[in-house]
Amino acid sequence: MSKKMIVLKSSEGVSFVVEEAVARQSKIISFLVEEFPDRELPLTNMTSEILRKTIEYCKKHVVEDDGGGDSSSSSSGDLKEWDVKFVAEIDQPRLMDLLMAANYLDIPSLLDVTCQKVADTIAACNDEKEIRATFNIENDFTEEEVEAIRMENQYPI
Amino acid sequence: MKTISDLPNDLESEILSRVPAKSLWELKTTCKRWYALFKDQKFAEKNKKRLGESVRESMLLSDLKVYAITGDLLQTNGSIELTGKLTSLKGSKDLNISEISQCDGLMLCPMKSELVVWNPCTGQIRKIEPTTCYCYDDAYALGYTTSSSGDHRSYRILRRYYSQNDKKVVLGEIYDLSSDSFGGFLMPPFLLLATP
Repeated sequence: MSKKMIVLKSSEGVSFVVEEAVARQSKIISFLVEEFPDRELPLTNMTSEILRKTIEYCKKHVVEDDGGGDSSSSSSGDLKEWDVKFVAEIDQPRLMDLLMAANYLDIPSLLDVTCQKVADTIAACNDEKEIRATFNIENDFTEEEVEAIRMENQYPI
Repeated sequence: MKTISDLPNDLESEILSRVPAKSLWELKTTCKRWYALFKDQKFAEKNKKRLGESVRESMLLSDLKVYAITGDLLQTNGSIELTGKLTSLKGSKDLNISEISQCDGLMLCPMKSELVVWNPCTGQIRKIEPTTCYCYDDAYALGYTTSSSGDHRSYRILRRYYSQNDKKVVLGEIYDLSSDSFGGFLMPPFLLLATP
């Protein structure tokens, strides 16, 4: 039985031919495929690089999910390990793009691993200076304001 | 190039709710957006819910020192990890604490001449100034009242002390921890007991 293929087009106009089952992990694509069958789906806000990464993730996860017979708890453990490695290899700006893509395409598991990776990176920073440098955040506080906040005695319960 | 500040608010909040409270407290002065978010009650609830199951802290009072312990005491095999220690506000000397009381994870630690409230989760310490001087035979308890809408807890400290003039007269005082100006007490001293 030949697998049904669909075509996704990046913002640069590059076409990616993907198995429908792979692409359907995105709830948005799943919806679009049903609404517009046999049509190329333009993803104008995703670069080829990010789209390639997203497809790589979906491919890995569709294979594991279809594993059936011999897929056991160890294979779900392997998959988790693969996810960790997958996000670890991506640099900060691209991770943000991938996170946005997961959000836009509605792929909950990819959104989960990318959000967790960013949260872990934040938790690993020693102070706000390191955070600002890592994430390119502008400091909009004056020194007086920071001092006032440090003196504040409020409990964030 | 996108940064975390370019993310929609709900995504930013989703990410930050996964960061342990202790780190968040240290990072509150990163930018105004984060500062406002960390003070939001809804965000605090989300953070607590997400991390609540993984973070279990217990308290240990040993040799007049208070420690925070992470992990399940029943699951440990002989060794426990001390993750935090309550130290003096000046940071130089250790505090001597003879008793602690807790409410929702907040620790109330009376000392000889000081009273502090400690949040082991965030590492915050708050010193409570007395209306009159503290006395060695004071007793304290920590509790809360719930707002009419039921979603906000206001923490209070009850102080029981003996009258300076007549040691047979026992008085009570209630402090409101959530008020910004903590100098005063919520309820004026009231008579608890007068032994004939």
